[in-house]
Amino acid sequence: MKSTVLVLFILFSATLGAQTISGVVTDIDGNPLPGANVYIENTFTGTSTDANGKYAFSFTDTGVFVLITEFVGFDNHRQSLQLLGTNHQLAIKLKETFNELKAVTITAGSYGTGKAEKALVMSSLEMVTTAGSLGDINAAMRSLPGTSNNGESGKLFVHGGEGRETGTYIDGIYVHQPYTSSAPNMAVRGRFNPFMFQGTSFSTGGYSAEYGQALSSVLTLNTNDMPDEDALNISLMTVGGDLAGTKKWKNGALTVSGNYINLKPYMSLIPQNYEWNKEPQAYGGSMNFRQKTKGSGMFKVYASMDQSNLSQFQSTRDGTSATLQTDVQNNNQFVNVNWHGSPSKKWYITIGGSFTNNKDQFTRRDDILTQKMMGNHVKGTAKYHLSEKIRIRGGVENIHTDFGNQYKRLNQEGDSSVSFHENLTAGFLEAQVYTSAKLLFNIGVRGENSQYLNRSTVSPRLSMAYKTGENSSLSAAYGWFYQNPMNEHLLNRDYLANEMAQHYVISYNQTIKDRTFRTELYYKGYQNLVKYGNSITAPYTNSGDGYAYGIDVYLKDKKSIKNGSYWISYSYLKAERNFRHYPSTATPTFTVPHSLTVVYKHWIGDWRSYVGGSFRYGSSRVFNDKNSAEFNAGKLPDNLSLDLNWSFLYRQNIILYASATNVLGFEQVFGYNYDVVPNSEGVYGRTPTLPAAKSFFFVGCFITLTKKGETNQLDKINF
Amino acid sequence: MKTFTTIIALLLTGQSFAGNSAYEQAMEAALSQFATSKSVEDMQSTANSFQRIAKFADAEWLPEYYQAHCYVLMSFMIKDGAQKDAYLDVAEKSITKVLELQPTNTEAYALQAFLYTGRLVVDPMTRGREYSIKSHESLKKALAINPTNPRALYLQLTNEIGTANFFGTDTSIFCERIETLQTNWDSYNQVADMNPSWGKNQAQNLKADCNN
Repeated sequence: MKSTVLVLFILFSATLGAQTISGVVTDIDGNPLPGANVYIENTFTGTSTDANGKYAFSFTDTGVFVLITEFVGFDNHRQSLQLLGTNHQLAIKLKETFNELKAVTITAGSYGTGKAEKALVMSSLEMVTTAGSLGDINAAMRSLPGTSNNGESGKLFVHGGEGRETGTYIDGIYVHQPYTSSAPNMAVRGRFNPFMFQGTSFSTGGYSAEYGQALSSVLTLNTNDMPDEDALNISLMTVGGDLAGTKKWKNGALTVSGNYINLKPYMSLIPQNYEWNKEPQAYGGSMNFRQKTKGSGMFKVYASMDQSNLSQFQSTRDGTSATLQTDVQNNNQFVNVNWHGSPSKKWYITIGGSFTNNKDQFTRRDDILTQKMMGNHVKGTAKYHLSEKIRIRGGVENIHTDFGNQYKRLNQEGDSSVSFHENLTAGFLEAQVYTSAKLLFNIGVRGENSQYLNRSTVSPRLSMAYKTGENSSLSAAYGWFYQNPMNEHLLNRDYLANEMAQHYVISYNQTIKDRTFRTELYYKGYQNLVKYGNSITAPYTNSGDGYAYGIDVYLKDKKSIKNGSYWISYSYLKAERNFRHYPSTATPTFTVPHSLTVVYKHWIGDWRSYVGGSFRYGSSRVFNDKNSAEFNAGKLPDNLSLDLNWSFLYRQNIILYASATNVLGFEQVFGYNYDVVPNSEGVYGRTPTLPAAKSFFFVGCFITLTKKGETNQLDKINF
Repeated sequence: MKTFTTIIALLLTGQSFAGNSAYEQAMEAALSQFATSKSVEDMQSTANSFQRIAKFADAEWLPEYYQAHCYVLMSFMIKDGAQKDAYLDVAEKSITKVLELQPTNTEAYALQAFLYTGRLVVDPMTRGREYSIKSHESLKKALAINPTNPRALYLQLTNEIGTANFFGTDTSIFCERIETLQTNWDSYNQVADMNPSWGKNQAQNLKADCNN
């Protein structure tokens, strides 16, 4: 050994004069990169660049070597060097690693929440702490721009569209019945608990070719993956209770829950605007199963059964003060099954389906209307990574809907029934192409065939985004969107065509640290809307049309105030339609020209409390004054509300939660119901459509029990 | 070939050949650099040194471990969340490599727990629950392998005290355990050569908190 060393020593001693390798490391634009690692492969020799990106080290060996330069966030650089004992000066340029998370994203029309989405606007857990949302996903979404508050409905009205124009998807699967049932003019709620989902995104337009049957917007909900551990969750609320148990095993988990809601005790304490025969009551149960499969796959099943009923006294609208008892009973069963996985690195597959069985029964004096809907959806998609920058995605689906109305008079033989069966088959294909980390195109097309309407449609969808600066981007979207006319219109009228909307959206987004600013400009054109005609042979036509345009502004700041965060949403909307019973083009009653929402949340450490407030303003909407010759010329008062909530972490696993809506008691009127016949002076009397009560107060206690007793619901109040 | 090059490298850099291998020499140099690293810049440079060693001496776990340790520490030295995550991504890769080399390495699991706390700090609002559980799991693994790994014991204490402070519950119940850890630190900390030995000073600070 010693002799070998000696020989080597002698051999190389001729070249012992150390050579210096030096230079500067920069990015493509020439900005120096301090802290980069520059070294010779298969040796311990090397150095780090200094504050100016400069490096220099000496190396005594000669021959051919590889100089490697590495820096976090950049591609490795390799360069072969012929070292002959003379000094080397090398300028090295590193290319930023193409990272989809850092690359530009399309923000036009897209609001994401939760970790599943890149365009973070509102964390999904934040929904419940948004004052006034009362644990309803749709209500939380209404604090974002592009939406408007229509208190009599409770649905999501987006960019001048009605609530029915927003489609709801769970794990990519269509939800036939996303809302609870309620009495006419009483707000509904979303059926699903926000805690079921790890990501919620909501689109204001220009969405992917994957989604159909929505003219205005899609609400996409992604269910949770694996729970963290076994747990028993107990919720005690002023309006009822909820019990959920989770059992976890190595690659799977099962959650079973049950709930009971009864508003009677609450409503007997707090003055109500309406008289109740039977206050709303609901009970239900759900099951949530998850199993991991090979290749990072996951199989999920969600099933629920719910039943609710209420009985309210409503105006007879006959000019007297008499009221009429209206009963509403709802039964709903829902199953959503899906699997996703990657059979290989380049492929991502999803397969899923849903089944819905919904029955609503409305009883008004002797008239009974039973509305039955049975729907299912089967869908498969595949995504292929053609290269780092190109992705192709396609899918096929079938949506089946059976819908029927049955009218019956109490104590009378026979009934009259109408129904229809729709079988909608659709396919989509889209390509996502990054021409660079700065420019992204998304080109898609969707085809649909409706068996019932015997029509096919083809919708192009295009969107693009360009990174205008380090933290800002500009994006645009365009597309055609089709949706079947509403179920009630489709009964016995298979000659109707699909309603259609065209979207043009331009959006600018800037995010610096925890501050986001976004503004969006849009125009929407409606065609083929259902319009009521005079002809007996064709009482409904597709001759309706309309438009909507407006601008949204959004500012979210989690940084400026210590332990506090706020966001401000403002939307301007101008819309007109000539559809349904409209005699001419007019502003629809659901259009809110100016909407403003300010949400503030603050963590008070000493009190272990998370407090929040929301202020909502919606400018005056129109209504049709039956006593005026002009259509939709009446003006409702402005709609204002200040909502507050407070979450208190009593113990690690116990949260006390309280909230109140409209604490300042603003007068809210959502419209008027006119009498069917005028009074003796020829004037139509009216009753205002009001919220169930001026304010709503809620108190709840949420307890989590685990084996370890260490887990808490911190995430649930999101401090 | 590698050994050959090592010998040459050693020879030509004129380093002593008597006792230590080139690997040990490089490690010692990097460790003394580590001991004096105060700023992020220093730490980046130290991490680079460990990385160079790790690349060449790829059967050794220590350079990967220390590289990961540097990046975890760096994540605590800066404010920007995205950059914290970028550092922690590098650290996570190194810890994975250590665990591939030595699946029952107690120090790697302890460091992994530390890393998860770093992830949590980026966004406690949304990550709180997920990463506190992960950190807890890693410490359990570290202590299953070596019940007296002082670093794992120290990290476990900080996690528990942090939670207790948050809920305003009594932290004096931890004093006994801090005391035990303190007194026994040297007997627990039977580390060979260049193995991880950090934590004594930090544990000292924990004690100061307790006395207040």
